[in-house]
Amino acid sequence: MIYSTIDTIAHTNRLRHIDTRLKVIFSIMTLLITVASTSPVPPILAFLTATILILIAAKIKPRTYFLLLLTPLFFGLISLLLMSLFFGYADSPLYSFEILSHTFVVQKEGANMGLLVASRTLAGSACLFFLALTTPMTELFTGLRWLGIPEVVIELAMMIYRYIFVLLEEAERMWLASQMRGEGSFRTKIEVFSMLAGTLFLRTIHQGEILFVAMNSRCYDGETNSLAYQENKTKISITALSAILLFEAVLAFVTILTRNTVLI
Amino acid sequence: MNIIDAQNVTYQYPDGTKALDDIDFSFEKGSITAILGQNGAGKSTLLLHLNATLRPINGTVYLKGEPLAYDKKGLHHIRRTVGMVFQNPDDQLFAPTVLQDVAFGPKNLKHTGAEIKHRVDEALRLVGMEAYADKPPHFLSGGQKKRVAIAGVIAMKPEIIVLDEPTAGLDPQGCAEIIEILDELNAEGRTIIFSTHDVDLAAKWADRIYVIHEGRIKKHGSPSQIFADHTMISETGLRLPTFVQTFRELKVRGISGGDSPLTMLNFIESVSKPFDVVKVRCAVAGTDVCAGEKVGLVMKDGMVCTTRVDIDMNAEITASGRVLYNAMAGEDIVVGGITGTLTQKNGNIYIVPIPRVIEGGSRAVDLVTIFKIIAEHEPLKIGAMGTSAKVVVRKAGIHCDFDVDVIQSGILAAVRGLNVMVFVTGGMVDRVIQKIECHNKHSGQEIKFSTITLQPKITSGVQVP
Repeated sequence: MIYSTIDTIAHTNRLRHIDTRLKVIFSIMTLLITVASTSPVPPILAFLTATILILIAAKIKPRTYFLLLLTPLFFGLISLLLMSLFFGYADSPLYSFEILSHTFVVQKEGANMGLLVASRTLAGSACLFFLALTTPMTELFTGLRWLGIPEVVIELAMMIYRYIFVLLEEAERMWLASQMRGEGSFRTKIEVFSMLAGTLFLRTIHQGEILFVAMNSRCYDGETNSLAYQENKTKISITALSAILLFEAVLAFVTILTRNTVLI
Repeated sequence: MNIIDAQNVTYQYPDGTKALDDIDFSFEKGSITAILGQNGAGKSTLLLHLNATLRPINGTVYLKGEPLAYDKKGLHHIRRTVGMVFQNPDDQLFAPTVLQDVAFGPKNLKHTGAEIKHRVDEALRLVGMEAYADKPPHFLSGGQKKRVAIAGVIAMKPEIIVLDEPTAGLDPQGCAEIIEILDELNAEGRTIIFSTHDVDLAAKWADRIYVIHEGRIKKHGSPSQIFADHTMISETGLRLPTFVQTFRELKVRGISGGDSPLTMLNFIESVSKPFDVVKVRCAVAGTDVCAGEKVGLVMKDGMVCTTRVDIDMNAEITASGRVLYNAMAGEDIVVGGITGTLTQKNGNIYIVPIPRVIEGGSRAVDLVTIFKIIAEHEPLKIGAMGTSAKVVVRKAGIHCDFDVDVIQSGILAAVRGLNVMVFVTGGMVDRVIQKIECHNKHSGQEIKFSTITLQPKITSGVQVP
């Protein structure tokens, strides 16, 4: 299962023990600058940096990373294609071709806009993949708390995270059990699927009830910070923080320099 | 003194099924009680009454003589006194990491940060899970999850620990480890109440057993009282413990005698009489064996009994015998034809107390002294009991011959003439001594035991410059 793979990588990669806040600062700031940029240059820079960090610093298998990248790559290419065909003014054609007696014209503005969107998509995904692959969820919660996300949201997220795996296991067991009793037609498959989904939902409710009893058994009184226990309070390394801020400054500077410039 | 009492407790589920039907029970402080019954007998329902999760529709449960109060303040008091470990650890572990889960209870008890840290560390070390503190529960095995679930409860320091099927779904080793952790908690004075349908576990571990069937208490009493009632056992869908069954078969064949055994040790005692090698007379040929050596006896009817014997030097025959074959190193030498009065010699049991986790645990022990003690007493069989003793043995890289059922295995080895050294975690020493004395009294054989006290390790902070 891909989720547990990402979770495992997050727990074992080489950047695991870098302070979560640094990783959060890096990926969020880079993401924001990338989104704000009006030229594809800063996103490409950000994408390369995040990729280098993921592949070389965190030593994550290139195969895993590229498999993950396939999704944003696909969306990026689709938007590049569509935008270059349907956006822009008619007076700046780059290239034209004919399919079924209909002429398609690739417009310059459209191509540029498509390129910008594709590069932003890739860069944004790379930033988030960096965070997801190097930081275990468990530590991300600390980072989120530090960012000032409300405690209720974090506690809910924590329990959801925990029970995703219980539910996944349950779903897998039920799916296997249905598979073992023979394969049916497409119609039966749909029926079995709806049955599994329904049962899973009922079990979720049941699990929720048990969870409530379990929490009450340990004196839970509705206060929201009961899970907010952290033992290790690490200090942010000034060197690393300065390096990140310097990178962000350079990226922001490049963004301003290259604003509204186009590649094509 | 009873820590929990209940009178006329009746509980009905919303759909109308009577889960508990007018039952009385009481649990003695510091005891281990098993609630034994088949699936659906009402065991879990009974346990859920103990921490006021369920409220009886009729009857009263008393905690330390006070009827349970079901208001907010009362529930808080009950739940900090009665800790509940669920059957499925996934139901209980809801925090994203082990550490946060164990800290959940103490945090709800509004302890200070330092106290929470102290309790969490102590609880995790007691169950041997300190290395997994930052792991999410889905990375752990079933046994490890169970241990974390127990740690989450002991971090709240409850006087009573209630466990629903503590060994369900665990492998034999995992099962033995859980029992040992609970034994250690019990040695600290905590009351343990658990439900099970494992009759062997109830027979060997519980002080008292309640048999529950279709929502009613069928019988309660000591394990020997319970398993003497064969009709009741079969009526309630249970079975007799393996040792009791085997004993019954041997008894009707005239091999075993005495009381029905509940543990391996009792069982061996019940069958060992016909094979007693004490004062066996044989004819001597050859002169290859010296007194005090390990020899085996070939008895008249051809039965081979290998045991360590001391040949009595006062007998008319000096120590000698014919070696029948060359045994491998470490094995007994089998000799034939010995005459003389042979007295069987039991091994000694050396008890080495190891400080408990709260007293510093394995860190308060100097490994060099451990090696010294072992070297002084070799050859030895070595056992470790309790968490910190096990850690010491592991740290020192000593091969452990027994790590489950340590007392029983140790006594059995001593009966075979081997010297045994058991590293015992703090509070459990008295229990070991009590068990050995009980065996000595019961069997008439004397196993000598002594306690070797370790000097406390001098930490650098105490040393005078």
